[in-house]
Amino acid sequence: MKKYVYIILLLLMIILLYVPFYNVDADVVWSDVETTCADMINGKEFEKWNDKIIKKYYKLSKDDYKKALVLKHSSPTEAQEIAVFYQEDKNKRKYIRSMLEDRKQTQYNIFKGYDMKQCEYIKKSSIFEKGDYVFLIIHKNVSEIEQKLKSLF
Amino acid sequence: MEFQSLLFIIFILPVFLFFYQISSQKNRKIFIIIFSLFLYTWQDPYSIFILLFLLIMNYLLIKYMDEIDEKRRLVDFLVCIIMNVFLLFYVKYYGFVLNQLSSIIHLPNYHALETIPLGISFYVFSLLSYDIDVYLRKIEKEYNIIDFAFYVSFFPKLIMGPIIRYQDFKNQGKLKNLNKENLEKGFELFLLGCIQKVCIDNQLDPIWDIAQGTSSAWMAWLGIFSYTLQIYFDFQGYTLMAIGVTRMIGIYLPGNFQYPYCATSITDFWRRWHQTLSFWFRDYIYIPLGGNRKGVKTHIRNLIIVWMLTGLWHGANWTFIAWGLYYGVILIFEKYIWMNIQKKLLNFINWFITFIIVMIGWVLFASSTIQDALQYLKIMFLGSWKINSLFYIQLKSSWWILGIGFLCSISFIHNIYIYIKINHNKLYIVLKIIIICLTWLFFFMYSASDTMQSFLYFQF
Repeated sequence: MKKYVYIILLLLMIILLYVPFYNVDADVVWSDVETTCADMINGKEFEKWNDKIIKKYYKLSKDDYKKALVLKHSSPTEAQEIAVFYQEDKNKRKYIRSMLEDRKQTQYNIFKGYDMKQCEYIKKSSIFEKGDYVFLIIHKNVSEIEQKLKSLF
Repeated sequence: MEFQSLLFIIFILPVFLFFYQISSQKNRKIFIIIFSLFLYTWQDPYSIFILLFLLIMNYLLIKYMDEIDEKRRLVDFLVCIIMNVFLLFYVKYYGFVLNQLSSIIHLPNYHALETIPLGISFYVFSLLSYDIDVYLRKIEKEYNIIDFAFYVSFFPKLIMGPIIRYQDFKNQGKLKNLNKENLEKGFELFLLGCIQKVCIDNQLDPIWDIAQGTSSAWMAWLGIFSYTLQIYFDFQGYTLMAIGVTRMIGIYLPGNFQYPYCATSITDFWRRWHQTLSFWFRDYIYIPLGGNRKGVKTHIRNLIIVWMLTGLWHGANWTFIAWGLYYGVILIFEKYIWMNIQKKLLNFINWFITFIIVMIGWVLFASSTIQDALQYLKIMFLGSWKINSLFYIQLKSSWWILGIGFLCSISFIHNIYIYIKINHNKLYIVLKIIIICLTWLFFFMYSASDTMQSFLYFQF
C-alpha cells in the first residue's frame, strides 16, 4: 500500500513540475502583432512613436523592453492609443505593466474635467498580458481590438 | 485579516474567546482547528488545500512509518521530508529557478506560480521538525489527528510563527478555562504588540521608501536606520500579539526576540533575533552537519550552508541569498579573527560595530535587487554628506518616533517600565492606564485613516 502512495506522490511531483509549461500562450511573432494592431485602426489618424517619445511618455527605456509599438492618435485632443511591449523577462514585464497603469492614470488626469468622451475611453481601456507581450488599449473599439489580439495566442 | 485590525480586535477575538469558553474541554481543540482553518481560508482561500494536504500527508506518513526495519524507516522518513521540501520549493522557489534558467538556456513559455501560500515557510518548518524528531525517536508519534491538526493549524502561530516544536506544544497540557490572570497577561502582551505595530512600525514606514533614490548619504543612513527599527517592531509586534492571544487561553508560545539591537557581536545578535528560526537551523541543519566539531574547514562549510539556507528561507531572490551569505562570512570572520580583538574593545564599541553591520545587512534584505542594494550602499558611504532639505524635513518630522523606537529596541524604556513597576506601584498603574488609552487612541486613529500597514514578514 505504502509503495503505491509513494508512486502517486512521485507522479504528483512530476505533474506539478510540468504544470507551469502546460497550456501557456503560444509563441507569437512580433510582426503578427504589429500587423493586427495596424489593421484595427485607421492608419491615417494614428502616428507611430519612436523610442525617444516612448521614453518621454511611458518612462520606459530601451533596456526595459525588447520591442515596442505605440500607435497614438495624432490629435492631441484624442486619448486613443495602442501600446504593445515585447519582453521575455517576467519581472520586466511586471514593471512595464505598472508603467502602463501609470500612463493610463496620467492620461485620465489630463482629460478629466475637460473631455468626458476621452475619459470614458480611458476608463474602459484595457491593460493585459499575453505570452511575452504587454498591451495597453485606449480605443473606442477596445473590446474588439482586445479580442482580435488575444485570438493570436 | 490581521491581529491589529479593527475586525479582529472588536469582533473575531471576543467571538473566539466566547466560543472557546462555552465549548466543552473535549471539543475545544476541534473548535480551535475549525476556527484556525476558517481564518486561514478567509485570508488565503486557495492555499488551504496545500495546508490540508500537508497536514494529512504528514500525519499519515509518520503514523505508518516503519518501526522495526531501519532501512524502511529511513525510506518512509525521506519520502515525508522530500514531500514537504518539494512543496515548499515548488510554491516558493520554482518560479525563481525557472526565471534564472530561462536567462541561461532557452525554455518554452511558462507561467510559474506567482503567489506564495500564506505562512507556508513557517508551517512546513514546524512539520519538518516533527518528522525529524519522530524519526530520531526524540518524541512519540502522534496517533491522534485532532492533536496533530491542532499543532499544525493553531492560528496565532500559523502564519508568522513562532516555530514551536511539537513536544513543547503538546507539553502545555489540557486547554483550561479562561481565567483572569491569563486574560490580563495575554491582553497586556497583545497590547504591547499593538503598540509596537501601530504606534512605532506604522509611523516609520514611509521613511525607507522616501530614502530610495536619494543621493544624500545622511538620508540613506536615516532610511536604513528607520527600516532597522521598522522590521524589528513589525515582527516583534506580531509575535507579541500571537503570544498574547495564546496566553489568553493559557498556552505559552516561545518568544522570538531578546532585544537583538543590544547585541555586542553578530553571534550574539543571532542568538537574540528570530530565535525560533535560528534554533531550528541550529538543531536540524548546523549540528547534524557537524557544527564546529569537525575542524575549521567543515565548520566554515557548515556556516556557509546554514546561512545561505537562512537567506533563502526568507524568499526566492538573490538579495536574500546575499543577505544570508553576508552573515555567514561575517560570522566566520568573527569566530576566527575578530573574536580576539573584540574582547579587548569596550562593550559600547562592540555594540556600535554590530549595530552598523546589522543595518548594512538590512539594505540587502530590503532591496528588490542586488543592483539596488549596491547602489544604496554606495550612497550610504560615498553619497553627498551635505544636509539637504529632504533629510532635514524627514528628521524634523520623525526624530521623536525614531528616538522612542530606538530606546524601546535597546530595552531602555522597558527597563524604566520594570523599575517603576517594582518600586512605584501607584505610578505604574497610572502609567499603564495612560499607555492603554494612548494605544487605543492611536489604534483607532490609524484604523480610521486606513494607513495601517501589513506585516512585512507575511511574505515569508
